[in-house]
Amino acid sequence: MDSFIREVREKIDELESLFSELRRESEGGNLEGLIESMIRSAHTIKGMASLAGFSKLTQAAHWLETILDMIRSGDISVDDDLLEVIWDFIAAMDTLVRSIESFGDERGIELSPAISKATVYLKESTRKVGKLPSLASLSSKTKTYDVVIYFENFPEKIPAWLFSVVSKLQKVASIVESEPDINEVMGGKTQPPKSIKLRVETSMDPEKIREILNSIDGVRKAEVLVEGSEKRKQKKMVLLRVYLTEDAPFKAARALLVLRDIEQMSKVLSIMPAREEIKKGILLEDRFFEALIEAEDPEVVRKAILEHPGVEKVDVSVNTACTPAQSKGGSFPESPPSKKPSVFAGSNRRTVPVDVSLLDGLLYSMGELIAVGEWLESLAAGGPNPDELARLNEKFTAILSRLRKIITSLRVVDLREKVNGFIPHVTKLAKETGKEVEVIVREESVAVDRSVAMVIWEALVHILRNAVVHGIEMPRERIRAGKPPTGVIEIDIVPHPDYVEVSVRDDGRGIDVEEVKKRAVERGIITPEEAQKLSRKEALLLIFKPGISTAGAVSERSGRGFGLNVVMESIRELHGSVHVSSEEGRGTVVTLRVPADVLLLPVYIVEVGGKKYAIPSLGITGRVKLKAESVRNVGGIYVAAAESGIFPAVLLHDVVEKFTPPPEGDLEGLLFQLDREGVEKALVLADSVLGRRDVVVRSLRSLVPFRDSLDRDVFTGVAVLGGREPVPVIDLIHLMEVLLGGKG
Amino acid sequence: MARILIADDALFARILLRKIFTDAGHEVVGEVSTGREAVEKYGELRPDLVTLDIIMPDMDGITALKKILEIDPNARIIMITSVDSDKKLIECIEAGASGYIVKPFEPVDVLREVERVLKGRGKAGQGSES
Repeated sequence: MDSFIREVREKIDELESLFSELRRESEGGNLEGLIESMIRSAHTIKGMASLAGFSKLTQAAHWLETILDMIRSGDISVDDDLLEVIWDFIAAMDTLVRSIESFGDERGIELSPAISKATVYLKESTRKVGKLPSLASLSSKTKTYDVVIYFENFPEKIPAWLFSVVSKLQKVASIVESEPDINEVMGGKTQPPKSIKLRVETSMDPEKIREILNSIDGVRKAEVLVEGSEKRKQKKMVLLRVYLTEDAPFKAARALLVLRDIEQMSKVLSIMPAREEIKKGILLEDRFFEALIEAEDPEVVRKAILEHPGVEKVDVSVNTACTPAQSKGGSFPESPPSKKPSVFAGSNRRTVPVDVSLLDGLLYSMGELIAVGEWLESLAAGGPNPDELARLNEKFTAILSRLRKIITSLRVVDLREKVNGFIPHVTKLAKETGKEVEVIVREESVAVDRSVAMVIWEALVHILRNAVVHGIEMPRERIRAGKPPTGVIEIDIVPHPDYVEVSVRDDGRGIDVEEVKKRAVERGIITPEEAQKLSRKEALLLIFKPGISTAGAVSERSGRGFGLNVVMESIRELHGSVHVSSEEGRGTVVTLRVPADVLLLPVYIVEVGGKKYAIPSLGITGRVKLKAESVRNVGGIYVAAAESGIFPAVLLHDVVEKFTPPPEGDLEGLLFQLDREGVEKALVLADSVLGRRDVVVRSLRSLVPFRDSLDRDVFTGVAVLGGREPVPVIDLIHLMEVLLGGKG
Repeated sequence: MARILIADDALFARILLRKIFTDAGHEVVGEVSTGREAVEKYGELRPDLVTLDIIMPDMDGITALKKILEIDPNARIIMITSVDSDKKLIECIEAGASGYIVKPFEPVDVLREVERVLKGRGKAGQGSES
C-alpha cells in the first residue's frame, strides 16, 4: 500500500509539473512532447489505480488520458477553459490520493464536478451536443443515419469513451438525438449503457463514419444504419423444421407439397435433406426436414404449413446469430419461439468453407484406399497369406485414421463464437427478470465437431437460463447479501486432449439443497428415507431428474423445471458427463465434459461373464487388479481396497449378469473419478480388463435389440468391434446412480 | 361450399367421397370413372376442385392431370392414392397436383386437405400475405 501511494504520488507530481509547463507553453509549439508525457503519466496512474481497486482514481485518470489523447489527435485544442478542466482532474486525483493515504479509501470525494465541467466544455466548444436543431440539416447534401455504438465491457470507462466518440463524431456530423441521453451518460448520472444509439446528420459517406468510429479506443463495434430501415420491412432469416406425423404414409409427397407452399411464400435458401433425397423418401430421423428461408412474416408461413394433414408440428427459429432455444415441449408459444439448434446452427448455407489442402488430403487417401482394395483383390484370388494380410491391415488402419482426421476437421466449429453469441441474450433475459447480469466468457478457441457443438450449445442454453432465472438474485437482495448488484456469470471452456470441458459459474444464491430434496420427495422421485441419507453431492444430482422445479409457478421464461434433465440426456448420449457443485449464498458451478471426438470414442474393453463391454475412458484414472474375496459388502454398498485407498465399487457382474454365479478368483477393474476435481473416486469391477481402444459408437436404436434383458439405462450405445461384434457401451453415470441408490 | 368433381373407377370410393363432401356442405357436381371423362367433364363444368384417382382405365390419373392443367393451369387437383402408388404420387405432385388424399379415406384428413387446397395459393405467384 505504501509503495502504491508513493508511486502514484510521484506520478501526480509529474503531472502537475508537466501541467505548469503546459500552461506556460500553451501558445507555443512543443506541445506534442508535453502531451505525450502527460498521457504516459496518466496512463500509469490509471493502471496502478485499477489494479489496486480504486475506481474513482481510475476513472479520473482515464478521463484525463482521454482528454489528453484528444488534444494529441487534434480533436480539441488547448485553451484556458480546457486547461481548467484538465487541472480539475489532476486536482481530483490529488485529493483522492490524499484520502487514500489518510483513510485508506476514496469515500467522500466526488468526481462529478470535474466530469460535468468537461462535458460542459465539450458542449460549449462545439455547440452541437443535445437536441438543438442543426444547421447542417438545411443542406440538401446531408443524410440522416442511425449510429449504434457498442462499447467494450468496462462500465467505468464508458463515459470517457463516449466523450471521445462524440467529439470525433462532431467533426464530421451533427448529432440530432441520442438514446440514452449523452449528457446524462457522460455526467455519470446514469448507469453507463453498454451501447448507445445516436441519430446523426452528415454529408459524409456512412462507411467512412463507421470506419472512424470503429477506430476509436473503447468502441467494440459501431454500426451505421440508414434511417428508415425499419426492422419490420426487413426479411428475416428463418429456420423451419417441419415434423410429419409418424404414421403418415407418403411422407415424401407431403414434404414436397409443404415445400412448394414454402417456396411460394418465401425465398428458400436451403433445404435439408436435399430435394432429391426428399423425393426418394429420405427425411431426417425419418420424419422431419428443415428449410432455411427468408421471409417477412414467418408466422404466416408456419400457419400455412400447419394446414397440411400429416404435419405434426412446425418449429420456427428466427436466426439472429444464435437465438437460444426455449424448449417448450411442442406447444406453440406466442413470442418468436425457437427450438433445437439444427444442422444449420452457425452457418447460413449448406456449404462450409473448406481448406483446399484438406480436400487434397481426402483425395489422396481415397486413392490409397483404392490401391489397398486392389491389393486385397489379388490376395483374395491367391488365398490368404497371414503376413501380407497383417501388412494390409496396418495400411488400411492408417488410411482410415487419416480419413477420419480429415472428415472431423471438415465438420468442425469454433465453440467460442457460439458461446459469445449467447451474451446479449443472457443480459436481455436478465433485464426482463429485473436483474443485472454480466457474462464473462473465458476460453481458448476450441474447435469441436458440429454435433458436439450443438449439444453443448443446447446444454448451455438451459444452464444459463437457470443461472439467470434461479441463480442470480434481484439486485436488492444481492446488496443485502453484501454482493455487488450486478451478478456475474462466468463461462469457461477448456480443451483437453480427449474432451472439452465447459463450465458455467454464477455468484448467485446457490442451490437450496433442502428445497431440492423436498421437491424430489414431493414428486415421488425419492422416498423421505432416501432423502435423509443423501449426501450434499448426491442431492445436487437430483436437479437433473425430470420434474424437479423450485420455481413456484411454471413460467414463460423458465418452462418446466430446470430443463436440466434434457441437458443430462443429451450429454449422456455423447458419453460425456455433468457435474454440479453449489454453495448456498455463494453460487453454483455446472461443469460439462464432452468427448471432443464423436466419431471415435476412447473406451476400455472389459469382460464380464464371457461377454465384452465398453466403458468410456472419460474420467477413468487407473486400472486395478484384486481378489474377489477382498470386495466387502458394507451396508448394501460394495467396497474394495485399491491403490492404497478404500473405494465404493460397482460389480459389473451384478449389473449385467445378475443371474449367473458371481466370479471368484481375481477381478480386474477401473478406477474412475466421481467429481470434477478427482477427489472422490469409485471402482468398477469386471472379470478382466482387456485393453483400451478407440471405437465407433452407434446409438442403441440403430441395432435391433440383441438381447432381451437389456436395461436401456445402463447402456448408452453400442460399439462395433472388428466390424462385426457389437459391444454395449456402459453408462458410467448410471453406474454412479447404482452406487448411490442401490438401483441396480 | 365448393363445387367438386370426383374421378375414381371404384364405385364405392365415389360413394364415400360424395358422402364426405356433401356432409361437409360441398356440392358434388359430377362423378366419373375414367381419366378421359375427367378431362371432358372438367372442361364442361369447371369445378372448384377435382379429386382424381391415380390409377384409372382409359387414361390414368397422371395423364388426366396434365391434360386438365393444359385446359386450366390454375386447376385445383387432389390426387387419390392408395398405399402402393407412392412413386406415381410424387410424379403427380411434380407435375402440378395441389394435394393428395389416401385410401382408405379418413374423413377428417380428406376435408382438411380439401380446405387447404381450396384456400390455396394457386400455382404461380406469391402467397396472399407476403
